[in-house]
Amino acid sequence: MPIRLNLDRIMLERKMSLTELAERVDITLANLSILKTNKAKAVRFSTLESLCRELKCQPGDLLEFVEKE
Amino acid sequence: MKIDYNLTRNLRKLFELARVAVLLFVPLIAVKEFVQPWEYRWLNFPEPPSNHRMAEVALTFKPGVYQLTMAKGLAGDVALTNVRGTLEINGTSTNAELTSLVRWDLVLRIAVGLAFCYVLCDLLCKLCANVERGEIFSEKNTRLVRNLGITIIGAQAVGFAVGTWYAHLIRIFLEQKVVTEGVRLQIYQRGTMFSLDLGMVVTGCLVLALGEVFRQGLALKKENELTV
Repeated sequence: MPIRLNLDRIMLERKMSLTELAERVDITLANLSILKTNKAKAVRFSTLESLCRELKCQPGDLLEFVEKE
Repeated sequence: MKIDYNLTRNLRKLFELARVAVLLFVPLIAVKEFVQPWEYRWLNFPEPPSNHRMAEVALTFKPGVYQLTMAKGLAGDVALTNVRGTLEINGTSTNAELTSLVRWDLVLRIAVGLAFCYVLCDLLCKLCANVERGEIFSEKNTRLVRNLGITIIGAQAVGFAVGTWYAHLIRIFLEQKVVTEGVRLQIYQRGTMFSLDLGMVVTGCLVLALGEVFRQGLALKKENELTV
């Protein structure tokens, strides 16, 4: 996927664990893991909104377009 | 939401029963068709005639064999050129070649029919069991539905091929062994079992289309699973 989610980097910067974020955002650990490992095919606006609110960032900080080689 | 799987469960049980019935039919038919005639011979009982419908035939007459006359008009104004009818063969005939022909017809009919019924019941049984487990759009079910369609079309194709080949055997037998003075005997249609049933072919195509629907459903399900 050319769109990459920099969730791991932001989480590291905020010093937040996956379990803690899952509890705050109210999504399952499995789904958050899918997001973190960039296996997700789509992200709902509601999920993105919750992530931005809890991680105190902008959608642009989370999402990145990587050109395919 | 809790889904009631009673219908699926009952259907699965029905197909399981049908599958067992098919397996039980094999020895029953074998006893009736192959052991019983031998019993009559061992016990020296006269065998009851057992007529088997072999084919639909057309009798083509040579000119002048059958004359139809009218009170007025010329001879030949009304002519009978061919008639159609059903060819029946006595399965308990003393002619060994004839009985062998009937036996082979029965063996092929039973083999194709039972194999088709067994595979169909088995596939439907597995499909119902999967749905009962709550597994609807899965790789397994997509494959099962596709196999169902292939089985329906395949059985028709095999039946038609076997029927055509068998009609050829009957034709050779009739041409060589059956004396028809002034009459040409032609087979124009095999028995109902081995003729190509277009309705079944269309059903098979519909089931294949359903398999494609399952494949699309599976793709949507996968995508949905990866939407967070």
